[in-house]
Amino acid sequence: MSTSIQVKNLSKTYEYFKKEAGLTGSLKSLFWREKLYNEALKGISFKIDEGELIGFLGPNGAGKTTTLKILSGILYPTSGEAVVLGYVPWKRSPEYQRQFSIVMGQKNQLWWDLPAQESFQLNKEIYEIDTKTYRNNLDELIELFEIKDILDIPVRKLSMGQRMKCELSAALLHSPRVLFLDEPTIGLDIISQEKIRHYLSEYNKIKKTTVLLTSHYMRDVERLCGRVIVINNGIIVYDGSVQDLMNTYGKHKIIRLRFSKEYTENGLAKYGEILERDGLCVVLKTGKEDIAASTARILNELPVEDLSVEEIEIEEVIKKIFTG
Amino acid sequence: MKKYITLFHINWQNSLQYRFSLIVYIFGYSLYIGVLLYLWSAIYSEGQTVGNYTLSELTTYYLLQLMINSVIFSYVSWDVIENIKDGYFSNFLIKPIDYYFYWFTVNLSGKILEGLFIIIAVGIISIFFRGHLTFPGTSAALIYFLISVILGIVLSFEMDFCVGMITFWLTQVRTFKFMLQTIILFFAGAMLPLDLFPDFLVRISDFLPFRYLVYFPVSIYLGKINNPWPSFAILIVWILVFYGISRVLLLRGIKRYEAVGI
Repeated sequence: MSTSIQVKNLSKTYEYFKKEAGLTGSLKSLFWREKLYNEALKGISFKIDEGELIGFLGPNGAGKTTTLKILSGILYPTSGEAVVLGYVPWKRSPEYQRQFSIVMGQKNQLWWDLPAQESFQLNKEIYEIDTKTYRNNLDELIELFEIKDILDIPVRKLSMGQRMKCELSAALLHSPRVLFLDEPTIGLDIISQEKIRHYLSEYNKIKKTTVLLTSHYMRDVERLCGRVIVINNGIIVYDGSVQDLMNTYGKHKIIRLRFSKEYTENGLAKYGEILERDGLCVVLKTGKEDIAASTARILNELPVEDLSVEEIEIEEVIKKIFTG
Repeated sequence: MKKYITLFHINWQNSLQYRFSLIVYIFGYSLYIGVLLYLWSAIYSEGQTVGNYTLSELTTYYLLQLMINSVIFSYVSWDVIENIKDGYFSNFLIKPIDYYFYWFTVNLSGKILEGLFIIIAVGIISIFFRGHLTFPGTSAALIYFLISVILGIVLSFEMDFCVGMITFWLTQVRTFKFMLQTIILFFAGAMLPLDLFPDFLVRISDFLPFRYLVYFPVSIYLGKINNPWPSFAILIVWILVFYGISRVLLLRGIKRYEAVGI
C-alpha cells in the first residue's frame, strides 16, 4: 500500500504578545509588548497509508487542529517536513487542493442563506468537476447521507446534524483522496453522532479515501478507526491500534449514581472504585466486564434514583498513558 | 473563469433571498431621493446658480452622487474583516480559488444588481422631477459616464479590499475604516463638488485617486469634461497601482495568517 501522509519532526511554535488586563495594560502594550511563545507541536512524526481511517485523539489544545491545518496548507510549520500525496501542503498547489478536503465541525463552509445545492454547484466549478462525474458523485452522496429532502432548504434552517451531512457532502463532491475531519461530531446529539460515524466508515470502505479525523470523543475513534494517534501537549504519546489502547487503558467504565435518599453507609466500594462522593451523588469506576453485574447489583441493593454508565474520558486515558 | 461566473450568479440568488427587504430598499430609496429633490427645488428658485452650477446641475450632481454612493463604493471590507477575524479565511487557502477575484466577483455582482434596482427607483422619481434635472447632452457623454462608473467600481473595490487586508496586522480596523470613509467621501466630491472647494483643496484632490469615484463620473455626465481620455489614463494607472498594492498585502497577509493562524 502506498503512503498517503508522511510527517517528520513537525514543529509549530505560535508567537503572541502578552497583554496585561485593563486599560493601563492596553496603553502599555502600545509601546512595549512582551513576546510569548507557545509550542503547539514539538516534533511529531507519523506515517499514514492510503485508505486508512485514523483517529487523532487528544484533549483541547493538544495540537490536533494545528496538525490538520498544517497538512491542509492553512498554516506552515516552524520546522519539520510533511508530504501529503506527494505534495508539500503549505505550497498550496491547485493540484493538491483538488485532491483533499477538510471539514471543521465548528465552521461552516456552505452559503448560509442558500440551499446546500447552490454551494455544491459552486464547488463543482471551483474544483472543476466535469458534469457527469459531478452527477454521479452527487447521487452517491445523496443516497449515502440521505439528504435528498433537505437539498432545497436554506442551510440556516437545517439542524446541526443535517448541516453536517451537507458539509460532508460538499467536501466529498470532488472525490478527495485525503479527507481531514476536525471534530465532525461536535455539538451533535447521540443519534446524529452515530449516523455521521456510520456514513464515514461506509464512505471510507467504498472509496478507500484516507481519512484523518480528530475528536475528543473516545467513541468516535472506537467505532471508526483501526489505528489511533494520541497527542498531548504537542507530543505523540500513543500510535497504534485502538484495540490495544482500549485493552490497556480503556478497561473501565464510569457509573454515575444519584440516590433517592441520604445514603451514608460505607459499603459502596464493593461496587467499584469511588471517584467522587458528594451528598446524593456518587461516581464509581468499574471494570468493563463487570459493568452489567455491577449495575444490576446497584439497582437491586441501593436506593438509586438515577444511574448512568459512561465511557472513560479521553483525558483519563491520556492521564493513564502518562502515569503508566 | 467559469467558477467566477457561477459565483456571480449565486451571489445574485443570495441577494434576492430577502425579497421583502429589497422592496423596502427600493421604496425607501425612492422616497429619500424624492424628498431630497423636493427640498432642493424649494430652496432655490429657477435660474439661480452656485459657483459654476445651475440649480438643475447641482440637483443632478447630488442625485448622481447618491446613486454612485451605492453603485461605485465597495463595502466588501466589512466581510473581509469578518472573514479574517473569525477564521473563515482558511476556506480560501484550501480551495483552488483566488481570494482577490472571489471578492472582486462578489462585489461586481452585488454592484450590478444594486445598480439595476437603483435605476428603477431613480427612473420612477425622475419622471416627477424632469424639470429639475439635467440629462447628458450627447450620447458620447453617456457612454463615457458608463465607462467611468465601471472603472470607479473597480478602483473603489481595490481600495476597500486593501483596507480589509489591514485586519491581518491590526484587529481594530473598523474605527480606521470609518475615519477613512469620511476622508474618501470628502475628497471624492460626495459632499460638495470639488470645484466649489477652496483652491488648495482642489489641488490636493487632484493628486488623490478619490476624485475618480464621484466627481469625475458626475462631471462627465454633466458635460463639464469634454475630453475624458487623459483622466481615463490616470484612472487606469491608479487601478493598476491599487491592484499591485492589493496583491502585495494579500500575499504578506497570508504569510502572517499562516504563521499565526489568527
